[in-house]
Amino acid sequence: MSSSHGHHAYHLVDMSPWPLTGSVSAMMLTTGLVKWFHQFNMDLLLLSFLATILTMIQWWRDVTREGTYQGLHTQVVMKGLRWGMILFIVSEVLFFFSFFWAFFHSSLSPTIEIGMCWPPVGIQPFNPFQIPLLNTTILLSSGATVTWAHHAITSSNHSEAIQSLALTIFLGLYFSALQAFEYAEASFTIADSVYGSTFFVATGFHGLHVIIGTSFLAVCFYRLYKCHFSSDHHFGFEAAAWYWHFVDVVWLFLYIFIYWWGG
Amino acid sequence: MAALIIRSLSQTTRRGVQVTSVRFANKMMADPLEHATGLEKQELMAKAAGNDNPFDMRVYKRISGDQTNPTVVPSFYEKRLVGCICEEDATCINWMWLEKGDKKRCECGYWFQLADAKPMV
Amino acid sequence: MSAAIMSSEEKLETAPFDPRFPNQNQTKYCYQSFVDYNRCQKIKGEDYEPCEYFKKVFQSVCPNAWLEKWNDQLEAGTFPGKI
Repeated sequence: MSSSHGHHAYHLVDMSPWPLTGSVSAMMLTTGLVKWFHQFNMDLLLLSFLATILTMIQWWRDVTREGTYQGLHTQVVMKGLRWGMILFIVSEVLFFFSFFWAFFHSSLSPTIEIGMCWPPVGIQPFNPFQIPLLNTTILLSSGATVTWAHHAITSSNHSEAIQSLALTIFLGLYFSALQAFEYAEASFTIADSVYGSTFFVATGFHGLHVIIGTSFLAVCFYRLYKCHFSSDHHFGFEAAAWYWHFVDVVWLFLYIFIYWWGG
Repeated sequence: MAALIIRSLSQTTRRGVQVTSVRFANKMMADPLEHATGLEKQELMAKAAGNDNPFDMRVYKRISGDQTNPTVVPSFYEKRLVGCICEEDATCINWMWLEKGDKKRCECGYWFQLADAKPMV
Repeated sequence: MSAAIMSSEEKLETAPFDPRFPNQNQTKYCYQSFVDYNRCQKIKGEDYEPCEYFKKVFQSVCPNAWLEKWNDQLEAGTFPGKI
């Protein structure tokens, strides 16, 4: 065998600066947040965003090159990537579990400080059958279009995959825009009782995940456009689709319990 | 990125309008084997050629393993680390270095010999 | 002790057990009784005798400082509850 990677299927990665720049960026991110919270100065935070984004772009660009252009992602390597994504999503489920725990703790037996009722006195929640219901249909539809894109890819149909993935990304952007509009219209803030805190922390982190998922799908769109995928090797897309379904399911729980039952 | 999305969107929508009635005019993706490269391609080609274990990933089943008929272990190198699971329910593996040339006995008394491995393709 | 002295003694009572609040922590019993008293007076008027039951309960269960605070909040219109 002529490969310089030895007589095995595993991918022994090359030396890379990105773990180092990623660690420095993460340190700057936390320090920058503290600086912002305490000194109301965002300089370090913005710099850390730049460093983090540059690290992410270049690290994942390298992974793309190793997989697509160097052919280092054999079956057993892909199995590792799958397990990695599964464990990551499980950890994300637990992340949101903690916010739902806080929400149910506060809402199932409301304290006397908020009048022993939920929503608390003085809070005017959103009407769940207006924009939140529209957002539910948008995200459910985007779950259907991303499955459409997956079917198009597995049947090698490039044109249809491009169309359906573009539609999925559009629906993701539409959701974020409506959510931004809803936030701007809100009659309560994150500082208005435990209702505002649990509401904005849970829906805010969900919104952040929608933005991350949309970016992930956008990268897949670019890679699909550049013909990086084949009908049976497109794990980048599958990971993005898994993530998107996860974000979708979290929204269903948010809608049912926080917007509808809790409103 | 935005320009790219808009360009490809406008291209695909135009294409959609032009060829809606002809389904097979859709641009198709490359064949997975043609698309692959490097080690990934070697693996796919080995599998296509009928080798369903191209990277020698499976556990070896010991043959009778007496001195005249040792279990042959392939290796690309001068020596290979071999582990014997001596009993079916053993909770530890007995490891040993098997070197090219001499036959060697494992902890439970079976004989092994190193042979040159054949390249995958 | 003679029977005459016994009958002249005042009968001491505290709030009865309420199965809605079975826990050691009676904070919510106190608060609920305070709210019920004010709701009762709002609906039935200040002279309606049965409302006094709730008052007896919250006066025996609630810390005085809380009652002061809540009465101040009621006056100022900032009480966190639905009366």
